[in-house]
Amino acid sequence: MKSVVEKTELDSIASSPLRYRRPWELLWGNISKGNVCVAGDALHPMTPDLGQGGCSALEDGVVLARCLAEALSKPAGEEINEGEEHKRIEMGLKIFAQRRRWRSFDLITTAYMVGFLQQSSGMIMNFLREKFFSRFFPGMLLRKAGAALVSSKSSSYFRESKILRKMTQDVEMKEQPVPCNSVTSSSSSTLHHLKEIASLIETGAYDREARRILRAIRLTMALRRKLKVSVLSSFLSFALAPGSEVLTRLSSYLPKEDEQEMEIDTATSAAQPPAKHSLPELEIYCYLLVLIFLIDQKKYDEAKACSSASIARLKNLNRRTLDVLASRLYFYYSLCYELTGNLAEVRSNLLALHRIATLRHDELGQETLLNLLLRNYLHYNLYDQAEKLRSKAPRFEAHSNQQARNGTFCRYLFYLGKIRTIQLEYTDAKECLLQAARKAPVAALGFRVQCNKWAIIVRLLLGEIPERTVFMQKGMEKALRPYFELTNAVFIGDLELFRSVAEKFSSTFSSDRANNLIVRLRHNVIRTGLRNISISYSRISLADVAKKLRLDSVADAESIVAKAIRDGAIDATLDHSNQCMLSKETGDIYSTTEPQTAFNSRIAFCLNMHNEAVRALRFPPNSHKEKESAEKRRERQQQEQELAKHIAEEDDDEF
Amino acid sequence: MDPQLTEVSQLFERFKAAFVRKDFDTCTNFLSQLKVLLTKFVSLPPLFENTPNAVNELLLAGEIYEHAVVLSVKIEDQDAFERDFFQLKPYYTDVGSRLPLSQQEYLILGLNLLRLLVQNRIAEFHTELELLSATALENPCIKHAVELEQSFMEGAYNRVLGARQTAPHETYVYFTDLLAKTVRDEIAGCSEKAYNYLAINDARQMLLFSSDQELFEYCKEVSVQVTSIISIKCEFFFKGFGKQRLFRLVPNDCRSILSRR
Repeated sequence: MKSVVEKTELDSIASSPLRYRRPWELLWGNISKGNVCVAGDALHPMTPDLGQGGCSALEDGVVLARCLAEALSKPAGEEINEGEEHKRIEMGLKIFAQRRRWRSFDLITTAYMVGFLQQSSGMIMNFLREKFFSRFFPGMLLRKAGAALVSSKSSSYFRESKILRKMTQDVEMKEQPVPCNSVTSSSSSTLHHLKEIASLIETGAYDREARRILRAIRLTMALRRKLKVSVLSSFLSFALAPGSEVLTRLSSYLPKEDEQEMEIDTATSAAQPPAKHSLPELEIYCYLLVLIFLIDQKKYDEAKACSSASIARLKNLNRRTLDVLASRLYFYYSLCYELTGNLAEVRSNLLALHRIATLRHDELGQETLLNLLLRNYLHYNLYDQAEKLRSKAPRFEAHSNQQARNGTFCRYLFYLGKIRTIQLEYTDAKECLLQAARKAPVAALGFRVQCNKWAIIVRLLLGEIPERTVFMQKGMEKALRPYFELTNAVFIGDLELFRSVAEKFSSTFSSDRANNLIVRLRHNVIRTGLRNISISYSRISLADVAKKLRLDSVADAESIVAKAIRDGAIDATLDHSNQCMLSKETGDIYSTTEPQTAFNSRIAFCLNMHNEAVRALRFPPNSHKEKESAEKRRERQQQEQELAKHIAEEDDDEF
Repeated sequence: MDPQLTEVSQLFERFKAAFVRKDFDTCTNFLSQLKVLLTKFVSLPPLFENTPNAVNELLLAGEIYEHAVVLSVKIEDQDAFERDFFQLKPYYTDVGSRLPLSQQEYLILGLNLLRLLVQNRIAEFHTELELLSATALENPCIKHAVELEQSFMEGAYNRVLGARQTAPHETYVYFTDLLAKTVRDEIAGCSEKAYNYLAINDARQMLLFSSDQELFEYCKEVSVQVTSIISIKCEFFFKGFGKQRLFRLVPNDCRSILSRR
């Protein structure tokens, strides 16, 4: 926030004086004349201290509409002629004026007083303000602001939805099982939450609001740790029609548990009202829940079976409200196959699903599946095919800043960056990887570490040296240590050191699949070394160059230096007969184009950021995302904390 | 299936005989006939059906394509090489688990890498490299290609030119010759920038020509003008490099007299 203010240019700030109408002028002035009236700021300009200028204008609109409607309402069968209509309008406006007069008076006065109190700087005022007013002011002001709301009866929708919520809560109250012991009570609260989520999904499905289903999923993730078999089986019997094929199938995946607990739950489930006919959304949600549970319990084979069954079921359903749940299912489907090492099996399935998603215009599904497919290909190093798929598949840039899409976009950028790196397009790769690292939420530590690792290599390949702060980021020091030493070797330009570092950490590099890229770095090491030599010596024999760079022969050195000169890396000439290298005097660097290129890259970056900020303005960055990575445990714990915080401060978006 | 299989193997034997005789025309004829016969087998890619004779058929087809690849090198047809290699690839990747490892696999993979390098398709070179396992990278054929690429990237062109001697197989000679030509152009480009003056002897050595005459012909090809000491300056353009720079090729006995620019 501060930096926004700091960076704003002075001439883009406009200042205008505050205006308000004196309240007593309202009392004896004209508000309406004939069939004309004033409303909004024309009626009651006020100082901005209460924040009710615009709000009261809205109120005016509503009251005006009501008055006019009342005035013009025809008793049954009667006709109104022109003259009478005019009179009625006049009457209506007079009533409007009467209703708004005192309200505007009230608002203007209060706004002025508030402004006076808040901005006065005398000692007494300050003291009074801090000690007394701050305690009851906000409540009073809110009540003032909301008073009109209730009085003008514009909240019918507000009340209706409140009633609905109350109803569902009542229903749930009745179903609350009697806690027998502490274990059951905690699991019953989880069950309670799950049932809330189920009702949320139902309302979302009926109203076709994907937001609710998204919220349901978010709440589920918070409950993930608390899931137990008993909870799950009771939830399943609640949500799904008893005796249905789905119920039996899902129950078969869950391991059998203690007899005693089962009895308690059957007692409670008997007390529940019979479940409504199960929505497909609920069904898929149950699949998802069971799948998550199985994966968390590391029962990968059952998870595989469950996910394949769910995918088969999904293929038959075609509802847009299912998209959010479906994309989650695809993700877990691919995950459990990956955890058992059989990723190649799902490839054809994923491709078929992608085709289906495209046919149904299911954008979220398309994006998720594209990411999963790219991950699949990259897992097996099939960069060529990954690129072919990616270039042909449709992308949806417009939505990439929305909350739900941020995760998929980050993943996509990461995979794209990897592909570009292998294809030697380092500039594009660097942009993608750095963007992915920046957009990823703080909780996704493992993912950011991977992005950073690749970004470091790409920057080294481009010839830049990443700053030390990159390696010192919180939580990443240990993981990035090998890369730090590698950067050191490249920076110094010592081939021997480079070789030893590459050998020392070869296992880390091969697990990151960066081995071949490290080999490519050798060339950069030589260049840097050569550059250092050329700066330090005005004249040096090629034999010495070969020795310093630890090259094998003088002839090698000669051709390498020649190529470096041709590529513009160093500024020198060779003397073949004397076998030496002569450096040219480096003139004023500002006379070359280097400052220009440096500025250019910075300007491009700032402009890019500006464009992205403008695009993202309406959707504030979120703090919740789920990622999978090498360090799942730690990341998930951090995420849990974050989610708890997020939900605690989340606004009620039912209204 | 069996009579078809025997027919194909017989034709294949004749093909191999012609190959040994270096009768490349008959070879190409036989090859096209073989390819037509191979379409009758359903166990081959892209169908991959599981017939009882599948393994034999796959083995045979794999061998045929390998020979096709080597033949294309002999007749110096790079397009044919590419086509046959792409047809051969599924045999290594998808079916590899079912078939025993072919001796020629690494040889052919190395040849492919070299071909990509010669055609300057470095991105594809690296993509192919990613697909190779660690054991594959230890193989001399593949190692040779990888090291060549490294030397090429670093600029140690003398190593590239010297690689001709270290080729692991005689089929590699064709590509290394092509590479030599590319390298020569690169050396010339680098020398243009790096040297103020260069003795003719040294130039000849660097560009690996055996006589002065060849050097002058090459220079004419790339429009370098050789001056004698009398003329004041010489300019030259490198075709395709498009840069103009003053550069002198000096006759041997006069180099000590000339001063540097």
